[in-house]
Amino acid sequence: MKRRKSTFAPKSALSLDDLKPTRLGEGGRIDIADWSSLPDTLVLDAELRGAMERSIRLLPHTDRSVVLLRDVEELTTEETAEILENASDAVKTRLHRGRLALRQHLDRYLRTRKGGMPHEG
Amino acid sequence: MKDDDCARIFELLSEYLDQELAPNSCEQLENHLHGCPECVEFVHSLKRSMALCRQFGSCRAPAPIAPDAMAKLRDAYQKMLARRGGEANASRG
Repeated sequence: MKRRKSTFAPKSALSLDDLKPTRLGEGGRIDIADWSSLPDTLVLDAELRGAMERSIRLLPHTDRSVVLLRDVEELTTEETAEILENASDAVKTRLHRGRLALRQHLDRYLRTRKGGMPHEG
Repeated sequence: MKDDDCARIFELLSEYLDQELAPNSCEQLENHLHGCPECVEFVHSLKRSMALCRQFGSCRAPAPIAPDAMAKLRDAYQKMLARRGGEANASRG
């Protein structure tokens, strides 16, 4: 049976390959922002909070729901599965894909952030 | 991330960071991390991204929720409370 496509479905499904960092040249180092400059005791300033909101909004609908419930609201896999009426394995798969996509969006943001890295709070 | 080992651990990272990975897979993954600083760097960035989500959740203003979604959440929450109550009674009994 052909399933109706959700209004919120992304134009194309994200694949894990799209979310892997690329290498700079053959055998070169991976192309990744300097995340180590983010202090552990970081307090979200308005700019970073805005970047988080935009990054979360960019996630496909199904992955976004899981990321919001698991990582933002800190519910368990089982609680998330119950709310979304999904199997736990499906929640885990969507969570991983959503986290990788969110990391990729934030990685791009960190490269362009004005005034360097956020201040320690 | 071209190497097969890097690609294999890439698929397991969320379960690893959630401490839900089977012990043997966890050991293999950590052995790989010991010899692959690039994967360590990637894991670090993923971990920080997850930490930012938690901080975002604790500081943001609540967004308006559609009535049907709110009803569904409330229903699931009540079920969760009832289940937890049942578990607490069972452990006392």
